[in-house]
Amino acid sequence: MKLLLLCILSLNFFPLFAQQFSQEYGKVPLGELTLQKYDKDTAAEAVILYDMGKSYFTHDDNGFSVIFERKTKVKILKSAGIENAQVNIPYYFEGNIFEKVYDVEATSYNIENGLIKRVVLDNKTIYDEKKNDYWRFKKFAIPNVRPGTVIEYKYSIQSPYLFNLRDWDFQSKIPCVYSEYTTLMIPFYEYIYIMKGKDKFDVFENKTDNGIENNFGTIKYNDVIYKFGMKDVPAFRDESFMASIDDNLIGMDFQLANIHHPNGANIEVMSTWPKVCNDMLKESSVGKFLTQAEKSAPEVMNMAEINTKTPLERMEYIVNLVKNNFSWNGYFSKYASNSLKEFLKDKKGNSANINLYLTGLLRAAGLKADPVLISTRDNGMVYPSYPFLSFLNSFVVLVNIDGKNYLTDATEPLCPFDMIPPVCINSGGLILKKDGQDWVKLATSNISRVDEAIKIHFSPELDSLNFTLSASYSNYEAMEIKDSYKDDNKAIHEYLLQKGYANVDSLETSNFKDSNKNYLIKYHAKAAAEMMGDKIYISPFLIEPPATNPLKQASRTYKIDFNFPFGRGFSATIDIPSGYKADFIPQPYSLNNNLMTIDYKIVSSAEDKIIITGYYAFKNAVYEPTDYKVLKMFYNDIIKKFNEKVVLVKK
Amino acid sequence: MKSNLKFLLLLILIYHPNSSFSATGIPNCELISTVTRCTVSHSKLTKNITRLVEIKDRTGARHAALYFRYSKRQKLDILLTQIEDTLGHVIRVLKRSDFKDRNAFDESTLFVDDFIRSCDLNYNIYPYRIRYQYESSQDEFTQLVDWDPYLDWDVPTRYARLEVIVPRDYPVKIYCHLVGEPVKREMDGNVSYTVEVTQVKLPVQEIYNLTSSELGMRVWMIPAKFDWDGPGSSESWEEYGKWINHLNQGTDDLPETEKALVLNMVKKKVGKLDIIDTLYRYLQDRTRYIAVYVGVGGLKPYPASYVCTNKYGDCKALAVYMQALLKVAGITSFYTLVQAGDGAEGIIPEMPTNQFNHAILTIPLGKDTMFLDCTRKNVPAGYFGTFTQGREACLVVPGAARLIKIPFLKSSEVLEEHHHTYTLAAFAPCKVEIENKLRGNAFDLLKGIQEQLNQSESEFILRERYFNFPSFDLNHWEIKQTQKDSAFLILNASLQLANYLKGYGEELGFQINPIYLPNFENPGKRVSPVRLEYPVNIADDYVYQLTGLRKGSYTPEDKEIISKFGRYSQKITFEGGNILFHREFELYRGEYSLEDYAEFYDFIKKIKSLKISFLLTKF
Repeated sequence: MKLLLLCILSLNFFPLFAQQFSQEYGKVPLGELTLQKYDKDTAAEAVILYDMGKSYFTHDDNGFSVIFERKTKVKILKSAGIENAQVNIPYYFEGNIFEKVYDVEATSYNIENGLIKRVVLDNKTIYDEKKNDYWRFKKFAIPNVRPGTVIEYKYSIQSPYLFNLRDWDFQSKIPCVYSEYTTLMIPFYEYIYIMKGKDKFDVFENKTDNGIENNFGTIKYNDVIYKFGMKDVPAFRDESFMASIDDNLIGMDFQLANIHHPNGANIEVMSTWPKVCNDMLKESSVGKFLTQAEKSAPEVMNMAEINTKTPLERMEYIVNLVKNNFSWNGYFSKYASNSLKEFLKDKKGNSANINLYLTGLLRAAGLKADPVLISTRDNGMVYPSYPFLSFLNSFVVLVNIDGKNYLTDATEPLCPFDMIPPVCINSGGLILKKDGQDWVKLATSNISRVDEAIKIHFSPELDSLNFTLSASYSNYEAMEIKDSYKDDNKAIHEYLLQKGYANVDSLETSNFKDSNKNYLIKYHAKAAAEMMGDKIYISPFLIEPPATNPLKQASRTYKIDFNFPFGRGFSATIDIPSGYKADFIPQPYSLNNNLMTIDYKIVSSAEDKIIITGYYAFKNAVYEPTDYKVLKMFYNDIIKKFNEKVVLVKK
Repeated sequence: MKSNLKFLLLLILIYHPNSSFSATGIPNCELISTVTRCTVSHSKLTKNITRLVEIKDRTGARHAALYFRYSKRQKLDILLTQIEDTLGHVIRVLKRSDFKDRNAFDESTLFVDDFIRSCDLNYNIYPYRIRYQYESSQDEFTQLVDWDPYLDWDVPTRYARLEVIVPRDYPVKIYCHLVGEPVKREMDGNVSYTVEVTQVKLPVQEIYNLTSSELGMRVWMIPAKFDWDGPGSSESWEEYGKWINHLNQGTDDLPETEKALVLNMVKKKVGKLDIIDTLYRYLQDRTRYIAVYVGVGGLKPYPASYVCTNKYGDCKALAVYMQALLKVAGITSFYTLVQAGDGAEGIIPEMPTNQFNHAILTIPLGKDTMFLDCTRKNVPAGYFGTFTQGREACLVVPGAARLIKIPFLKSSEVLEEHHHTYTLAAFAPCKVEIENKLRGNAFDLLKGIQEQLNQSESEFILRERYFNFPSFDLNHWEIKQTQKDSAFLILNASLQLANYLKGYGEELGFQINPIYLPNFENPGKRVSPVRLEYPVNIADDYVYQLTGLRKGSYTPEDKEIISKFGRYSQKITFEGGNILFHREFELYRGEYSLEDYAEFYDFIKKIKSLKISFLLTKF
């Protein structure tokens, strides 16, 4: 038995622990009870004094199962920390095969009248909640908890599922003094682990357990103990601009790599990407569904008519055909949940149903199309170095036309036909074909834009600005605004009033259903003129540019993931009222580097008309943490420049 | 009941208006028919509901996801769920496997043994119709039906029918609003009550509106007598109170050790107030709000011994525990039920039944009365805030009950004082030191932040609500309560501002945000009166310390706007190179008719449209 170490580790050995906090269950020194605040994070509402997990194997007549034991001690420092005394233990429950939670214990410790008061959880107050068809929770609230309390709890879970040894998060929303995970490995199951959020452990030990020898049939073996520990783990607080919090939390994922049967047979679970592809193609809910979909194409498409179209027209036609006739049930999956017959009848299915069907139709139309296995953003990163199917949870489709690749998808009707929904943009995608091992980049370098043309003229009394605004939304910007307001004029009208415009009328929208064209919103409205003394001050782009900086933290340790590159363009034409002249016009400004671009121009400045344009774009979808301060500064520059005012004065 | 601040704030911040009308103003969903039939037979209540809904386009499809909530005391049968075309041809009938069951989950509850059965009747060819029928039955109940003809307030209803059939010797109480009395018929030893409406006019949601039950049609029927954990009566509040007393019977079971502790705590206290303060402080320090609803349906309180052991409970359990503590100390208090929180429906006095979502205590103090909310932390005894102020409540006394009124908050009790000191310089970053003294609603919000949110969650909300600046670095913030049980909080903060001073030609300028007021409907469009449940009272004192800058070409004028709805004033003075800005705003509590609305709107508009900009010259 061995535990593959695919992470490069420096195998430093640390003394187990050397602080004043006890790791012995049931022992709470006075110092822990009198602790007022945690010096390493004085804002913390609670601090985990220790969090220790252990997984080991046991067997009976039915074979092996994994036992997971956890014990945790938390010091509650503020009222907001009391929620840590409500514990949810998730466990898997499907039909007759289920995990079992047992030996739940919890205790609170307080100082009352100079004595340590210990209150134990009554097991009758442990509740069992069904979350969905697969997951349940054991839930309880630890009694007698308030700021100052130390709580301690432990539980065990017996699991028949050996594929996923329980993962471990060293980090959570509150700081942790010491977190440790121990795995006792046996010769029959071999796992690999992937470390996230850090590249080395503070504590790492591995040794053979020289205690009692174990037996399985005629085989005798000793466990091999692996211990992973992290000390002084900070609270995880900044969750903005991230694809998945799980990718950034310090933790480790375990995956079964090999099964070594006592009879000598060996089953490779972690194999190679080509084998993953071949296995998937053998699955009836993937390979068979795909073949059947291709064969069924003549039922829904007029093949003669299809053949009159160019390849790109064919692709567009078929993507729209699937989008318009089939709906996505909201579930991502790499396996079709409905058979083709059910799918065609219900006209509804999961992402595998929809996109495998799309692939089949595209192929039937003579296009080179392949399904692409992906991991959606919520599902976390894919690690191409670790060939595990479990990392992947959905499909998009790759179409190659005249040597050019197009990614497409039919789950999201508001998305252009040659783009995939933003939620699918995450790491890379594995092209599913026989012996396949090629990856395709899912991120787009296309900038999603909002362009606004604003024409401003004054009311006769000069007390307000009448304007016409034509906004054009491209790509994901179009998708987002369509999704927010569903082309509902009443809702858009309400939004514009909330924003601060008055007398909104002649509101028109175009291209809601045509996702391949920019979505357009046009309206007339009124904004108050800023008159001070004998001068009039006008923001050429009105209140359209950003006014607040979304990058709020002082610094950043995680990548900044905007999901897709985005940009905003403005063009303002201001009619100068008679009797007035321009007293001040902002200076042009331009900046262009590999991170972003800003371009502010005075196009013309005639006696009766001023034309100003502005454009800025964040060129990348993802930025390094080292870029954070520069990005934040750029954002401030944008806010400042794009809100600068033109000053008009009486002639 | 206790609101979960984290959940509510998230809801406010992510909310996008979505209505069931498309760009053309045509509804994207319509309730073609809804038929509700309630039958009481052999003491069992059965409700059978059939609906036919037309989904006209993709945006209306949200109404095709169905959720049925039921408790362990109820039996739920989904009898029919199918998709049809507009001619009534069946496209698809849902199978048993298309339904999912899960526990209901309430944000403010640890555990509730109610279940949700859900299914999805989405189809991809529009328009289509969904038809569903379900039946629930239960042996124990206190109400028959609380009916309205709406699927949602933005979904038009073509036809709605309610039929209630009860035995002839089964008296009922009926409340109807905006709909005629049910037609009563006798048949086969039963009495049926029927209401039918067609082409139902939809209520309109407006800002500072009346309650939803005042705006919409409603037929509400309760049995005059019922049996739910024992016999009860809704003939009068007095009779209903007897049943509440029955539910609460024996809940004052404090252990002897706890009684001794109470006596020890109060032995040196003199006067009732001192004793109440001591015990209320003890309750606040030692217990927390946790709701668990199992078996008894959420009306019967957990006993005092449960709170004593666990040091937690829901509002009812904490109230009976506090009542027991007070009893030991010789102080009489009364269990009191109230509608708490935003959007309370208002009590219908002629329907003595459960109309409440919160329990508190009422303590007579000579001529005065004290109301004690036992779920609140670190507030003075008697503080009730905007959560319950001005509400009608059901005071439960031994053997009876009656409706009482909780007082309204006074203007001085909601005063928010904002003190800002700005350091403005032409070529250096601007800073502001904030000291806000907050009462009323703001106190409740800040208390929620203090008690429930961690640092980053708190900052997120404070940024939205109190640090209303375009871009800034938050150097420091702190919420202080000068005394543990004061009814105000101090919010201190120190911010470095970016882009505070903007270029106004060659000058620099800054703006003071106008008083935040919602966008009221134009007078021509408003259809219902305005109701301000509690007053708004704000006093701002801003000091601008100038460095390298002096008074520029424009300074706003002093202003005073007075009306019967409230008052506004602003005053600007220059003193030793500094600008002092003082502003007061008050909006009075009250209900204003549609006749008054134009004048009210004008008052609000005048204040909202004030532009308070200062120009400064560099030197």
